[in-house]
This record gives sequence, structure tokens and C-alpha cells, in this order.
Amino acid sequence: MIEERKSSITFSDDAIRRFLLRRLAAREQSAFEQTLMADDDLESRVRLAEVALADDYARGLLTGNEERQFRESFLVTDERKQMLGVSETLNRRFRSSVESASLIQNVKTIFDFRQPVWRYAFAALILLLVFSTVWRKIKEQIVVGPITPKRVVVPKPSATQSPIVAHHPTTSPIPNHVEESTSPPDHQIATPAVVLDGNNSVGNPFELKLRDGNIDSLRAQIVLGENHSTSYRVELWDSKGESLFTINAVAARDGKVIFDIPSRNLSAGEYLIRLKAVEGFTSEETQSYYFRITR
Amino acid sequence: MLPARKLNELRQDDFDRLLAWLDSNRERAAIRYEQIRWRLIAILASRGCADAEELADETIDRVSRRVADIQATYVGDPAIYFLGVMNNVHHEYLKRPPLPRLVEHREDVEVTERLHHCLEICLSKLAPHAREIIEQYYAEDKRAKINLRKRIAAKLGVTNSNLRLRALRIRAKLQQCIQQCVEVSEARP
Repeated sequence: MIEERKSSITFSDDAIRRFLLRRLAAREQSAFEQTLMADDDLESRVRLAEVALADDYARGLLTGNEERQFRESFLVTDERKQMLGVSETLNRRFRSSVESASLIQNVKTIFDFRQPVWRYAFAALILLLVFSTVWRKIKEQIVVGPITPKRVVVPKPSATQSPIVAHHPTTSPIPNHVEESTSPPDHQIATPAVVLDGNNSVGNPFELKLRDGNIDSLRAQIVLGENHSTSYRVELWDSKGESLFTINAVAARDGKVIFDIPSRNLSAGEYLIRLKAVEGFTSEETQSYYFRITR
Repeated sequence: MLPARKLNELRQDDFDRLLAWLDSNRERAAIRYEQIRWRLIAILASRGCADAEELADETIDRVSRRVADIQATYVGDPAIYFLGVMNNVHHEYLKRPPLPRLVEHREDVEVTERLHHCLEICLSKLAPHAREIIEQYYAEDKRAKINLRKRIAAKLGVTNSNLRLRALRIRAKLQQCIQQCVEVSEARP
């Protein structure tokens, strides 16, 4: 309670409470009684202190000792007992009804983003994000830097001189281009090829020497003459007149017909390849090519 | 405050003289009388007197009987004279052998119901802002006490201590209203 008036300034709120709880020293008690009898303001303060004390008791805000003194020394009049009854009733009536509202209000207060604490929190968060991004970049450079090759900065071409003048002195002779012949890489198992054209007739067969080994197929390449068809039927015959292999349609590309012949069962001897031009489903023209296999 | 001793227990002329001594205006005198009685009770209670109201009335009786003698010569605040008489009454009381006290039945259903009824009536008589202060003031608990008071104080634009004073003043008025209401309802058959 506030000590508002001059006349009761000598007695603090604490002294008033001690008076009500019978805890004043004898001299202080006597002075208090004298003042109380003559001072209207002190009476008002004592009345309010009575209410406050009853409220505090009803709310359980008093210490154990104060509670005992309250029961023994304060609750001695009917008026005060009734006062406590009102305090308890008011507490029961309002606390439960506003408890939930108070909880909501507390939550609102906590999450009130206008509060300075939230501003600091957001500022800290932003700083943290900035620092973490910078730190990540630096760390990335530390880790990746030694691994990645340094970029060579190519000087920009100058417009003042032509490329020829800039890079090749006009006085010096043009260097001769020397090309070293390189041998093609050896294949462990190369596919033998039979290259045939119109010259490979019965008397002039293409000769192919096969080495011993597992050769699964021969690559046949037949060079066609002018006015050739777009698609051909291929037949392979041996010298005994037996058909060994047939492909129904092989497309001609760039004047050539290329196909593979299974060679595992081909023995040394002469063979005939017959090409029949296919136009739709009708064979119109037949050409024969001969080759010989030796071992 | 509970009513002072009924007039028929005092001699009417003594009582009238007492009031005239307290104040020439009868209404103001009655207020003064009630003030002095309340203060006597408060002092006796703070001395640990279990029969404070009874001793206060005994004191008033004695003063009333003496007013005729002292009225012309006494100088100063009459209230101080009451205090002197009360000291004697209390001193005598302390010499008496203690009387067995009656067991009190605090949880009287009828009394509680009457109190609730009167509380509702008196709350409805409060101004809206006064009722809000009382509601908020009693809604607080130990944990939320400081925060809640700060919120209410900020809302009303007053300091915490001013808010407490306001709440207590409203509460005191409420107490007065409830007391009167209870007395009236008790007086009904």
C-alpha cells in the first residue's frame, strides 16, 4: 500500500501488517494505537491492509508463521471472518473462469513478435545464417581448391594485329608438316573380310586364307555395279551345290551390300554368293560372286 | 462493520450526549462513532483480544456514561479519550478467568449461500472497469501474479502499486456492500 499522506508516513505498510498480525514491539504498538485513534488516513490504510491480508491468506501467499498468526490474532472479529469469506469466494469465482484466458494471454505474450527479445532472436538467426553461408563457402574452397586445376587465363585477342602477324612471323618459312605413319592396333581376333565385285567370277574367285582358330564369321562386302537395287536376297552355296546360308533381305548402302557369314563350318574350298535383287516380294535380278577359302 | 450495540442497551440520553460530543452534526457524529468503534476493535484485536467487539462496546458504554462529566473540561480529540478507557477495560479483561469458547461452525451452508448471493448483487453494482480490475486481481495466481499485474497496470496506465491500491479500494467497497446485504438478508424472516 502506498504511504500517501503526511500524517501516516511514520508507519510503513509492513508496520501496518505487523500491527494486524500482532507482531509490533510494545513501544511501536503504543504509538501505532495513539495514531490510529486520531488519524483517518491511517485508518483507511489499515482497512485496506486488512482486505489485502485476507486476500493473501485466501490465496495461500502467507508464510506458515504468518498463517498461524492470521488465524490466531487476525480472525478475532465477525467482520474479519466475513472478509475472509468474501476473499475466498472471489478467488474461487474468478480464478477458474480467467485461468484459461490467462493461459492464452501468456502464450500470446510469449509469441508477441513485437517484443524486443524476438527482434534480437531474429537478428541473431540472420547473422547465424550469414556466418554459416560464409563459413561453408570458405570451407568449400579449402577442400576443393587443391583438387581442381587452376584455370589458365587466356589473354584476349588483340584487334591491333591480325592473327597471322601476331602468331606467325611473316619472314620465317612455313614449317613442313611431317606426319608419322602409325600402324593400326593389332586385333587379337580380326574378322576376315570377303570383298567381292563383278570381277569375281568362276575363273577369278576372291581368295581368302583363314588361319586356324575360332573365327565365327566372315564379313562379306559386295560392291554393286550401277543401277543396283535397294535390297537383296543373299544365298551362300558350296561347290557341291548345297545351300549353306540365306538372308532374305539385306539393304544396299553406298553401292555396297555388307553382311556376315557364319564361318565356323566353312571348310577350304570354293563358294558362291548369289544376290537376288528384291523389289517388293519379287526377285527380279540375280548376280553371282565367287570366293575361295584356303587354310 | 458490524452494527454497534443496539441503542436500547444504552440509555438514549447518554447516547445522544455522546454523539453530540463527537460532532454537533448528528450524521457526522454517527460516522465518527462508527470510526471510533472500528478503531477500538482493531486495536483490541491486535492485542490478541478474542472478544474485541465486546470490549469495544463496553468501552463505548463507559465513555457514554462519563460524557456528561467530562464534556465541559476535556480538551483534545475525543477518540483519544476512548483509547484511555479502552486500556482500562482491556486491563480488567485480562484479569478475568478465561471463558470456554464455543466451537464455531464456519462452513454454514446458509451463510455461504447468502454470501454468494450478496457477492453477485454487489458485483453487478460495480462500474465495468472496477469489475474488470477485481476480476483480474482475483484471477491471478502465484506464478502469474507479477505478469498479470504488469499487464493490467499497463492497460490502465497506472503503476503496479497504484493498481493494487485501486483494487483494494474497490474490494473494500465490495466488502461494505456485501456486509450490508448480508445484514439485510439476515434481518428478513
